[in-house]
Amino acid sequence: MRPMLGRLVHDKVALVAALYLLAVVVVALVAPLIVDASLMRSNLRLRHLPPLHVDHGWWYVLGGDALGRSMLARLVVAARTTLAISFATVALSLVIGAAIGLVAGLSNAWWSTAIMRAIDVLMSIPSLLLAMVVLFVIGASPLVVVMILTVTRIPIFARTARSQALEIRERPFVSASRVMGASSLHLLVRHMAPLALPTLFAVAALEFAQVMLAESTLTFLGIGVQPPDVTWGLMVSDGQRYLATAWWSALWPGLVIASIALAATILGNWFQVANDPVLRARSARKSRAPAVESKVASNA
Amino acid sequence: MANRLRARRTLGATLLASAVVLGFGAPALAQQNDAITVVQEQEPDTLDPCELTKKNVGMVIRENIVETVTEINQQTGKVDPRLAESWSTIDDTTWRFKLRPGVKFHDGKPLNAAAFIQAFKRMMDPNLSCSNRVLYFEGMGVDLTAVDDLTVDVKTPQPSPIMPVLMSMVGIESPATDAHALVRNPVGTGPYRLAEWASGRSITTERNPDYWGEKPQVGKVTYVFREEPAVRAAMVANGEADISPVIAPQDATNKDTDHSYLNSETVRLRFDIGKPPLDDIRVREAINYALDRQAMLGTVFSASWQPAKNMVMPTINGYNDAVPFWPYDPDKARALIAEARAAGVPVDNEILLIVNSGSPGGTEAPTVMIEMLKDAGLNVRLQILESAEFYKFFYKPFGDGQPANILFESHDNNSGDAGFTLVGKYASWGGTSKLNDAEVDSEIKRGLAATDPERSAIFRGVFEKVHDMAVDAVLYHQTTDTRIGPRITYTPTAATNQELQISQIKFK
Amino acid sequence: MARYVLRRALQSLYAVLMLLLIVFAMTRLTGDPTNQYLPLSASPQARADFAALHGFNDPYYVQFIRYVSDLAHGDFGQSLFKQRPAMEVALEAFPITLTLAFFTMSIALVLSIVLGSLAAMRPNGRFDRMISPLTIFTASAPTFWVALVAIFVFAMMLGWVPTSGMGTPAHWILPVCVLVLTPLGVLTQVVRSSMVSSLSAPYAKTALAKGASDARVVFVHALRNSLLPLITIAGVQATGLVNGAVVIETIFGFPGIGKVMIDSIRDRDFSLTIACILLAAVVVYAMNVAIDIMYARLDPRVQIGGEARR
Repeated sequence: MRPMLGRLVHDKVALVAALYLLAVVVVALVAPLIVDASLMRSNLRLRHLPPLHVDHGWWYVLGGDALGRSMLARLVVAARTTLAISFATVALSLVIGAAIGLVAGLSNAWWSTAIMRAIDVLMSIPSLLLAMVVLFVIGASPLVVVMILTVTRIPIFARTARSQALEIRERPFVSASRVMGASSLHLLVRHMAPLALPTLFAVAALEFAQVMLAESTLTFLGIGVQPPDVTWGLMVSDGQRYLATAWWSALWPGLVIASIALAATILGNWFQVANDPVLRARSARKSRAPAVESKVASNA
Repeated sequence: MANRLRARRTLGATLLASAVVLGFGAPALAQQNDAITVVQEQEPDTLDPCELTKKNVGMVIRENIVETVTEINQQTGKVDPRLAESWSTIDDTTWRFKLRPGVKFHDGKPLNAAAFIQAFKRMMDPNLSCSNRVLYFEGMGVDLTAVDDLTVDVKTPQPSPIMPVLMSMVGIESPATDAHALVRNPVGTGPYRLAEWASGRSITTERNPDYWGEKPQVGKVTYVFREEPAVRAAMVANGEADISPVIAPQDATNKDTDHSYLNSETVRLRFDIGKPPLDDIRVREAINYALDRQAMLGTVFSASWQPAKNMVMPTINGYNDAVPFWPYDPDKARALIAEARAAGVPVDNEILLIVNSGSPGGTEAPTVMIEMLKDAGLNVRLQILESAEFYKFFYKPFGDGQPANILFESHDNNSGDAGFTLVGKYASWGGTSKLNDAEVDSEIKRGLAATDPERSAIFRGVFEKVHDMAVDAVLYHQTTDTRIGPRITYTPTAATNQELQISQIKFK
Repeated sequence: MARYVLRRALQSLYAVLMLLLIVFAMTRLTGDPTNQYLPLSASPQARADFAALHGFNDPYYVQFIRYVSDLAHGDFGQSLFKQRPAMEVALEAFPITLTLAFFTMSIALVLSIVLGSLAAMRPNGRFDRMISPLTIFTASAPTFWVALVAIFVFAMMLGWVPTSGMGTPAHWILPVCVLVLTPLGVLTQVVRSSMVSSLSAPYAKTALAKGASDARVVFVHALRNSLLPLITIAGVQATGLVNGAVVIETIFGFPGIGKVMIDSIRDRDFSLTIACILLAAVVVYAMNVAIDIMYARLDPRVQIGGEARR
């Protein structure tokens, strides 16, 4: 753990990304403490207040939204719900999808093909239709949001994981392991999953952003978050009407979403390099810092 | 491998480059002298004349390709002749319409009594589900007889005082029109005929040289469809279109090209009057006092909307101007709620505010309204719903066990008569009415059977009564914003919401 | 090979039938179109008549049997709203979507291979630090926002292209460019991360030991292996595009199948919904078969089709 942290500190960009993500999580957690309830009330005089007008207080540095509420305060309050929903969705769909895909890719049994055909069928069902059916059958409970979003995201991870598994299973070490008596489960968990992870994480980081944006369409169906509760995705879609006049309404939440995807990707890329001695060596070879060289030498 | 990659890249680049070069040769801006482009919200699903009361269909064909029997004059509110020159009552239940002589359909056939009757019967065919019939002639049992070549008697089982008004909703198409299915090529009598329908892309109409009336200035019209309002506004600003009959209020920023017009729609909050706490008149009055209607204009609602007292426009027969506006009095609202609470009314029960997604004012207006109601002491929660779920709350039959709700609705009446509104909104048998009051019902029935001036007087009385009962919170008369390009002049009217008469468009 | 294709075709047929059954049930669960089709003030009697006329009150299995027997005669039903055969409407809209998808994926694939491999050559190097954030940003930016800004800048301010519509090749530039951004961002990262990962595999070290230059190692060996996840995720992106890029189609006024499908779901126009879904599914399943065949071609070690190599 300590060497990892050391490597993180040394890689400035990745460090910034990690700190940024940490800051976002902290802000999300302490939001109720720092945002006063009055900031969430509409104040029509301040409707579409342009940014950098600090004569109304520091909270309005990012401007006011369509109801005159502080954009900054709304972003802070939205963080919690957005992160909770998106993280739960991506984590669930990653785990379930990867499990399905890896298993299907590893085995040649008839049921592995059946699973992939089922995934194909799932991909062909429009998410709107799925959402409307779930709404009708189950109703608009909060868990439904994560459920619907997860189900529509699973095929992405399943197909990716399967393609990884198809390639990895042909590698010599796999047949060698089998000869030595390794079970499929052991292969899956100890060897194949870690090898598939980098690509899966790369996809997951970007999926994070897509999920945040997709959540707002569910609001308009009456599922999940209803105003005045708010998520970043909802702020983006609310602000879209005013692109020509009050461009900041959609810009700030959009930037937040994109920046989180960026930070997650940077961290994921860093992790991939930092975790693998060979890759560390490759990228360190170009650096001029002798300290790093000696670390590599001692770990080789 | 690298070579293949390079070759692919080069090919791709070449394709892209040639596409760009070819594309620039075709300017989208060149227009013939007397041709215009109109950009609509949505492509109509059909162009059948019996659907011309549907907005998307009417915008293209109404009074352009297909003409109606009579026409409502938007300035006076009276009924003007169109395909019928004159009309009178023969007896209590029969109207006699005299058709205009010398009018021909685009396929050469003459307009006469037989053609009229056939078109009307086609509209009434239950298998076609024509919206013209469903909206205005449902269950009417109309009996038509040809008196002579140009005269038709229209007889109904009950007296129908507003038959001339209803006839403004009837389009007459050629007798050669397919009687068993909706058509995509309407053949009417209008100043324009259909030239082409490139499905999904555009509809083109051309001037009809044999038109019976005045020759219009515009020779050719191309209708294109863009659902996104910002894009429609951009197209007119960019010269790619000459007029967008509907743009969004936040895009209506150019005073030279953008005009707003009252569009005969009125919005209100409908109270679930049978369920506590909305069954208590103090609560209903409190809601009306708690809403700051002025503050919402120009902020969450368009600045050009006008506060409303009745659910119909001032030009509609039956409008009661003496009904007062509800003043904004938050203190009085709080006092009324406190009083109700003391009397045991369950004012803390949660009330849902139901809003259809895509309503004007979006999510912002309901949020603000809820804040105002909470300040008065009520417990209101927003619930956005999409169409099908919304309709369950909007229409009868209302489901069992629906929570007490306030519903934000928009109502359109441009028929010239308040009867449709009063029945739909306040009669106990009205499809979207929550009211069940015997006195209101009997007054409405009396008014429907009466003719003017008695009819108007009775209707005015009903509007006054529902105001006093605080049956709902009538909010605003809506406006539509339109953008008109520099090549043409056109004055929008309340009817521009559902028809765009090209003959009214002139070049500068 | 032919046996494999045939087997997959049969499996896909089975999948299509399952899809049909599922979607049929799902659409019926969303209600019926009576309230969408009839005007707001239609009477309850009119609604009842309408529902009876179109058989919406019949039990589901009766409706299903009726639908399937029509289907057996090649009749996909009538679109209630458009008053035309449902498959005719779907077939009219589909080529537009396919064309958009084709151009978008071609450009995205080519560009992402180039950008991703260049970035992987020096992980966290200058090029990587420039390209990665840019592509991630464009990939996570809301499409609606990007499209409107693009129209505003390139069509209104600069006047280089028209705002919207389909008429000429110039009309396609903005929509395709905006559509490309998300797949480009995702695929660039996929190429990059899987190439970086491949570079740690034994064959890379062997090639280095043999003295081949950096460039050859990257492009010849690692790229080949990275093509597998690339075409998988490209397939996923393409599936999304084939099902219709609704936002782009709406904003730019392209009457593609995405918009038709979404509108038909909202309207409860069941026949049209099913026709659109089936049409898109056929193309998507065919594409998945092609992708699987490409796996075997690209990486001779990969065995598809259940014949394990010992």
